[in-house]
Amino acid sequence: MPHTEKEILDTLRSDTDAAFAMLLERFQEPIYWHVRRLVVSHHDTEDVVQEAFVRVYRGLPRFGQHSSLSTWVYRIATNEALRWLKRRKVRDFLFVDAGQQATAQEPYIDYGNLEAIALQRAIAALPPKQRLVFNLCYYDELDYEQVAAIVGCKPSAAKANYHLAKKSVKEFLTANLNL
Amino acid sequence: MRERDMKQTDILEKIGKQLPYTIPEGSQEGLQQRILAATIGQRTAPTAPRSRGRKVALWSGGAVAVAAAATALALVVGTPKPTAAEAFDQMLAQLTDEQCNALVASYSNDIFLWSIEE
Repeated sequence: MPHTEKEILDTLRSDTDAAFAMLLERFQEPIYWHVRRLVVSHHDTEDVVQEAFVRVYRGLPRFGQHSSLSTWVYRIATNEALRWLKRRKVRDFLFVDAGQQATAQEPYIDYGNLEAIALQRAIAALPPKQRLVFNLCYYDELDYEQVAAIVGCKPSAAKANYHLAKKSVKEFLTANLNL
Repeated sequence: MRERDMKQTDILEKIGKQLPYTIPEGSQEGLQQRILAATIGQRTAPTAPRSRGRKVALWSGGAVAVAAAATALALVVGTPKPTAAEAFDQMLAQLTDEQCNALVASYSNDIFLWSIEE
């Protein structure tokens, strides 16, 4: 059973390292998938996630509870992923053709799952903010308040971005899949 | 609702939240170990390997310094003199973990203390 935010914060008052270990257990997996959906490559995701949690560890003693712990951790991970995406040339693993798949550099993508690939391509085609908002709402099921705090916008803007993103994704899928 | 709109609504529901991404077996555990090593492991690991003799010398040096200060204070105010061990225990009891670490870090740079080796 993952630790609750309250348990982690209670532990933080007396033992930062123990609180961090609990936090890691609670957030490592959701943060891995959040970053993976942005960065795509498994190995790159591992590097980004590690760096994000190192930043979380350094900042934990000063965590001021101005936001929830999950919002804070997601924001750090998101910023780290965006920083990574800005620094590196984006590897379009999702957009390789059928003939290129054998030589594709990312071994941890199931290119045979056409529907899931199409959905990820649709999301990748969104403007950056819509892409982020869509992932956080659709996959992580965060509410608009949380999404707004992570992305750095108003909840109403998060809601508008999500609806726009959803519409674009559906249009993309309708045009590219025969379901 | 128009046919195209209905198709759009269904298409996302049909695909759901499935992802085409996979992960190597055991990678989450491996990542957790890497993160712990880069965070808690970094902080708790000593900056340089130290022998037991060095640690004893380090704390003995600290004790001598504290005892000397306590003795000087006792002479000034005229209270009974604590022993070096008592003074050292009293000092340690009042320090936080961070202050203890700072003390170790401070004395670790003391070349006279470091010269006492097993």
